[in-house]
Amino acid sequence: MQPYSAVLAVGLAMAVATACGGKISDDGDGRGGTGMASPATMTGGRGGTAAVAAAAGVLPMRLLTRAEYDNTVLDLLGDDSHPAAAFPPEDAGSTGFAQVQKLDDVNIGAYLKAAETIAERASKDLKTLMGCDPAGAAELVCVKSFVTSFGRRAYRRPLRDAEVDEHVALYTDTLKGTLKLGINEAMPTLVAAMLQSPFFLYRWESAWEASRDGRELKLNAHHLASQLSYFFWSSMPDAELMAAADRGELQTTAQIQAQAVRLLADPRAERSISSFVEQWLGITALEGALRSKPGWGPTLARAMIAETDRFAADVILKGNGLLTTLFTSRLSSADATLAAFYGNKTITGTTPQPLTFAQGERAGILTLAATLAAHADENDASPILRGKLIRERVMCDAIPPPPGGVPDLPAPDPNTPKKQRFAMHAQGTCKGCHELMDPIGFAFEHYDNVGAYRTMDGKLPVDSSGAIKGLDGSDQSFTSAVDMMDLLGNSDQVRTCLMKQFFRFGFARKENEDADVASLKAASDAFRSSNGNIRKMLAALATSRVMTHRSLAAGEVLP
Amino acid sequence: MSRYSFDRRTLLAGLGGGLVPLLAPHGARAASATPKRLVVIAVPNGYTADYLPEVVGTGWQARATEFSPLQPLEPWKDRLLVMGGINVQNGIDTGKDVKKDPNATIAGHAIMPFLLTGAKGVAGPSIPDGWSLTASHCSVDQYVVQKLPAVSGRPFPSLVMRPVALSAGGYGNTPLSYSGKTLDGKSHNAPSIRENPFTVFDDLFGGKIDITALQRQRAKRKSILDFSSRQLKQVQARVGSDDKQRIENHLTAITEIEKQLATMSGACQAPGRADETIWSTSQSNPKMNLVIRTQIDLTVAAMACDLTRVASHSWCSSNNNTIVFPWLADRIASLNDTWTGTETGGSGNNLRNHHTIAHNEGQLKREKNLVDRFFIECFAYFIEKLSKTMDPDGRPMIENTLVLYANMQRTGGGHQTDNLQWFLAGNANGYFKQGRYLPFLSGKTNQMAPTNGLLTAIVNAMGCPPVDSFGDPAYGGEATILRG
Repeated sequence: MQPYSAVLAVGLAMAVATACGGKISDDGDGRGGTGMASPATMTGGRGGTAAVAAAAGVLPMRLLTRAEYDNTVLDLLGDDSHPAAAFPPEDAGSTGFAQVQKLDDVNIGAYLKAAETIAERASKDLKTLMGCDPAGAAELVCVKSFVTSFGRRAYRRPLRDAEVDEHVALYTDTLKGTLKLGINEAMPTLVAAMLQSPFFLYRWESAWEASRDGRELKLNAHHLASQLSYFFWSSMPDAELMAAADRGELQTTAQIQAQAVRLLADPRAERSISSFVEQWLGITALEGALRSKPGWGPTLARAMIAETDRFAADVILKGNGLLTTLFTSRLSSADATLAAFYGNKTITGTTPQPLTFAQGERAGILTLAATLAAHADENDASPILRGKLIRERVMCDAIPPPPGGVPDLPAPDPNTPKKQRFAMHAQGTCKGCHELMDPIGFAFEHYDNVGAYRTMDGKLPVDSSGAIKGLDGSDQSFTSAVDMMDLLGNSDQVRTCLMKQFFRFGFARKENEDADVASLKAASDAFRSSNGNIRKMLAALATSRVMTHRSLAAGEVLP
Repeated sequence: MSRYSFDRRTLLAGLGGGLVPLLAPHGARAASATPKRLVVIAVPNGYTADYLPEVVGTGWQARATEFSPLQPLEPWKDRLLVMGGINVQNGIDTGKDVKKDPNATIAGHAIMPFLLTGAKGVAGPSIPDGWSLTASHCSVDQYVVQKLPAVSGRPFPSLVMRPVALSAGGYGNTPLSYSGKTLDGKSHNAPSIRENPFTVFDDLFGGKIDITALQRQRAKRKSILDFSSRQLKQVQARVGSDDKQRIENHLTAITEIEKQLATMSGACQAPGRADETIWSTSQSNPKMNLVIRTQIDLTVAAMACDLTRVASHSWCSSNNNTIVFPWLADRIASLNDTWTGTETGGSGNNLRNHHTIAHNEGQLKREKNLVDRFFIECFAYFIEKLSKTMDPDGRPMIENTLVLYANMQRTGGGHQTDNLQWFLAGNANGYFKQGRYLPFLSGKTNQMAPTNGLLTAIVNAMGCPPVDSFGDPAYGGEATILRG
């Protein structure tokens, strides 16, 4: 068997009959429901392996997400005002990661206002912005050179001559002509128009300049450069990546691989990792969460989120990159606020310092305060929410919605063990789903509603032992959350799930078990053969078909 | 049709302080030319038995309990229909009939996407904190927008608002209003929800700058948007059919914005601006009561200016997990926004937030009645503003404005979505016979009726092309009892 078949075995094992709709189902989007690949595709039963290996998914146009927008204006204009904070909330689409889906007057209007504000700020010093002096006789030459150079960066591709002319005409005919604006008003309006352009707002770049490659389309070099930079940085390509595209040096696997390694080593990769981790673990809204606990508030919440971001970046980008480390490391970092929360009195100041958790108390990213606090009720830990998080986001199993008419659990009683209060969940119609969530969630009972460590819950000692149902196809027992992290950190199922989550985050869609099979196999092989090195897996995705190719969409016309 | 113009100072008076009649009759206008308007309001978490009125003839009176929830509506009885015995079509279609099994699949907290659609929900995406159901049909407010060119042609086809900043994605944070089908055709899109009332103010009334600067800003905006449209059209020819639709939506949004720019620069004057410190992006804004009032003021002003004819207000999510009521602490001290730290642990045991109060409605009946009364007071304020603001025909706006107030479940802890009590305030040029209590919308004692009878009546009353039924026709047609 090839390494990849281990992944398959997990998928098939997961289809064994249990409760909760009859079986534990995976959360994929493809056919078959057994994981990312069906036996038919793997054995060439549907058109043959070779044909499948040449496939790539479609690449729909999509608006920059809020994070991508903020990062892009920062890299494009040095604007660090986080303008996207004023945009309407994003939907977590079917992927669980942010996708701007609404295109209505409210949303487009918010982009418009942001464009105006950013352009206004950027135009305070026109000479610096434009790289030339627009005053006097050379005005149009300067405007044209600005449109050419700024447009190339803003649109992430060279502008065609006709396009440059259209921009200059907007400036001369409309802004200066019809509206009679002076340079100091016309220029910011031109910049705002470029920031409101679909070529800036949409991740589509020069998609129509793709070339045919068998049944698929191969992205042109600048489009690929943008794909890579948004995948690794959640932002626009830098000058070096654009130059590589100009020179035709994004052709071979080795060339793309070299860029992937460079991008991963750049500090900008931390933005993408933060964005991924915050959404993957569902901690984005923690700042506004209501938690009944002295000291709780936005400052502490922000410190917790920042810790999780640093932890992920330290392991994935700077450390050994291993999934096992991500799930089991006791080495974190904290500023004074967070250190005090963790019971450390030696760390002072606002600069994060290294912090090692006591053996047995915490291990890995899932036991950091942010994730525990985010998946809790207002005044207590929630075994249900925490179990659901692990089941869905870490194990990639699907849990159906709760039925109607659900009765309440018995009221809390300091003399009754919490597990006893939840006993109803082990019976009748509750059992099918709750046996997939509650036992995992109870592993985290050592952490209260804000993720603080505790040994007692009310008047009774915490019992965090239990078993995960159907992890890698079997039931596996643990004594505590820390103990459980060893299971998760070494699980084939979890490794496969994390790869899928990165795929969904990076490509804004769920994996398709037919079209994406070759890319997923490449990433899976790299992930597995490196003992679970996340950097190697990401680099493998970067050179795979899903990054470099796309399918022709229904109704699409290539020029 | 011309827009209304009115004196800035009178409008300020009407919006800010005393509720004086705003608009003197402005030329001769036939009553039939007065626009009809629709407001829908949704609130979560059910109610106690004190929310059910006592029968008095064909009318009603509020129960004389402490913090009587319906007492704030007493002055507006003549403008109200109180309707009981309403079932919402629940959940994913499992083959179970709502008439036989009202709680077929899903509880009142997941109901918002199909509260006002007259059709069952469909499975939406699995989301980090739950499972999302979504709409399979337009909600009644957006249906009216789509069916009436006079409504969709307003600068703001509808104003969809909620008074608190909630992140998207949670099952409780789903929208109330749904419009066109999504790209995959399986569910419906929701218009973006406006939260910050000051952004709404700027969008409606053009912000703080003077008229010359405003016109200049709008001309620039138009040039930006025109340029963007031209580029979108260049792309549109090349892309696949799904992307073509995305671009079409983007172009439509630009058309909407341009229409708003063109209209605002004219006669309609801005009302006064509320104190900006009332807004916070916290999910438990301690001044949310004032945000609700401001959003009501803005809605009435926008309707008085005929900037919009349809509004949708959710107060706030479908569970209000994060909604606390410190402004009610003068009446019940435990509602103050402080945590003593002595409460017992366990889910849902906190005394402050709306959801928890609802779950403990037995023990916390006073609190439950008081917070329900608070939302009813907001509803009454809406009715009052619409009653004291005159249309150009000289009649109060409420004569031609329907305000539907819908709770999402029956009891606080039970999550039932059957036998609900809703309210319909206002009228559509005399379409409804108000001033009555209908304990059963079906007209038959102890027989429940689906929402469709009411929603169909609203659609027909608003002047949409007449329909036999709204939503899923399996649930029947108009409830004629509403007309008398």
